Amino acid sequence: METIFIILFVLTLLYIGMADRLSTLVRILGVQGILLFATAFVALDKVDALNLSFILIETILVKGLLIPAMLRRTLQRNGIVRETEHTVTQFQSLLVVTVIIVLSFILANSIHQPHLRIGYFTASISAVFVGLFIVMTRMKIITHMIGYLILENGIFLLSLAVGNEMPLAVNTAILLDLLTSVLLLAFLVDKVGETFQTVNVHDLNELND
Amino acid sequence: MNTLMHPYVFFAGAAIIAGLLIIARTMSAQILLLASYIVLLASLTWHEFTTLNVIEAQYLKADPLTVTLLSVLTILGAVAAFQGVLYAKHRGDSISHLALHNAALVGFLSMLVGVYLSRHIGLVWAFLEASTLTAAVLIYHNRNRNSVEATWKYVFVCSIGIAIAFAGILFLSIAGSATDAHDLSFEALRAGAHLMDPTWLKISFLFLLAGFSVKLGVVPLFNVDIDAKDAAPSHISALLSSVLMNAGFSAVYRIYSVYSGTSIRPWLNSVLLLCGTLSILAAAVYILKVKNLKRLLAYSSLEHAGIVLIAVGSGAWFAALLHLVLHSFAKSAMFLQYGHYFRLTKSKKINAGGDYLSAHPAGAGVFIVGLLALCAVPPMGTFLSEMLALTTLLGTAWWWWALIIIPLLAVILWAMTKRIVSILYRPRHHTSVNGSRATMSMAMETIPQYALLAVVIWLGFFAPPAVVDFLHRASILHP
Repeated sequence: METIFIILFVLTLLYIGMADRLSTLVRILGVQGILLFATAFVALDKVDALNLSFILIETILVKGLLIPAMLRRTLQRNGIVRETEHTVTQFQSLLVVTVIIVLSFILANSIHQPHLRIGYFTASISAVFVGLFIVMTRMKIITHMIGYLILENGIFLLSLAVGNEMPLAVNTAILLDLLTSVLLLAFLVDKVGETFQTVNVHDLNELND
Repeated sequence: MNTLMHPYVFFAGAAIIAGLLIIARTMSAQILLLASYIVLLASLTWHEFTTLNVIEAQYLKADPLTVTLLSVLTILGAVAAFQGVLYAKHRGDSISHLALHNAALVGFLSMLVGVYLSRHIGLVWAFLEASTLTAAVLIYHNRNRNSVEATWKYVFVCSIGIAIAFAGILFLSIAGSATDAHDLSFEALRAGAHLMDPTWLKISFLFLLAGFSVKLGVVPLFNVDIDAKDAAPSHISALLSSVLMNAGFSAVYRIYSVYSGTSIRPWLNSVLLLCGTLSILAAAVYILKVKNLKRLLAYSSLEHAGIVLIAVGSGAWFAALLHLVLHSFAKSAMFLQYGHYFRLTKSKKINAGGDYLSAHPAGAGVFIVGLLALCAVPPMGTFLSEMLALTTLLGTAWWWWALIIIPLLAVILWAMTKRIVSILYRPRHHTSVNGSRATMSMAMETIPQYALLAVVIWLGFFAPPAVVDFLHRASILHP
């Protein structure tokens, strides 16, 4: 059961490698949020109501619905449709994502640690590097933010792979931080668009020596 | 002696004050609220001093390191709050603009208190991330192109960095899963560290150091930190260069103290030495071409953070902590004086200045004494700490690192002196518009800056044995 969700999650990463329209990327992020809930639900050994509701809020509500809705609003406000300037072609980017996934798989299988879930580990490491790859190769700051969110999803999976549960106080703080930082980033994307009349990273170069 | 200042009381009080600050619409109410927050901070510091090593509120505990950093925070927080009000007055900011700034300032300082007090690594992480978010409001304060750019870069890179650090925490919990250290509190980790797999420990240390390097302001993620200090108001830059850097140090140092109980300690030391040396190298390269006075000061922070890491890596823990504390005071004084420089010249550029000695004699004095402190020249206390760090390094197996570090420090000393001296003495073009002179009130405003610099001298050479002893206890790894 959990393997299906992991495979679906890895497929979304491949899709991200190909996607060109930003609204598609946002939709994939929403799908990832829901997949994360499914994987977390399956992964939990003992489900208590508090923990479950916590994960429900974090995945479906925040990652699945709230963040995509916010991103969509930002896209509309700034009139951005697609990533127009590429440093790599779609084919190359798909190739890189595939290589990342394969390497993560090899890495995960070379680790001998009894408490580690290999499947989750593969998916999480892939997501972290795909997120970084998106940040490095795309030009629009909104895409950078999407890359960061993919990376963040990878970290969420990693915490499942490790299976260590943080105390509730810490978890709450982490969730609050994540939510606020995404809100803040979205606000800043708007501000950059307003102030600089551009959404390209390369135009943000006024601060220098 | 038990006071009522439980950390819960502090955080509740800070939240109330921040809330009131947002709605208070008169200057006197703002000042009163800020003053009461400083009193709250001071009494928390006193409370923690009297209840050392007592676990409060499950995950909070003060050790001598906490109290040392809290004391620095209280002093610099008070100075910055005062300067913030002056800053708003000079710029003619609206009261609502100032209110938001003050509320964010209270939030920012309180989150740093949380970082200093936490004994759970996850909580340290959460407080550090929260400090980024509140700092963002402060960096964004001027709402111009530079501040938008810097805030975006800062929040974005901090978020990536903090995500990387979180991966580091998760790798640590992989290492800890073989032991009883499930709850990831520093005590449990310290007790179980020697049973953990060294490879996982190494990986997690690299991730944590890289992630927290934004806060400490060292290689690899120092760039956005420089931009943030460039774009923020000068009193905020002073805080970013001092109390926030101290928070980054506190996080890294506590992690180091956990890991150093294991067999990987020599490896840890070499990583810190490398990271520190690269930071000094980066600082030297950038300082050689920098034209902006504020960035010059920011790069100097990069250098000093590097020195602190080198001190930790070579085992001179006392020197590391002393240097950190002294740098906090010296750099804050310099950033505050930069605020005056900007008011007089209306420019960040070094070549916009000149003849500062006659334009603003009191301010020029701050630049001179501050420069001595940043270049570790006696009678400034930084001389002692830097000397102690380097002599300890010479006594280790890595003594030859000093052959790289000392020339780099000399380059930085030369470049900084050249630039500051040009501001002080170079004759000004008479045709330029930058002819304004400092007023009497500006001269009076340098008093806090001189006071901070006086602390740098006092702490280095005239500190009573009790204070020195306390600093020693604060720098010891396993309290």
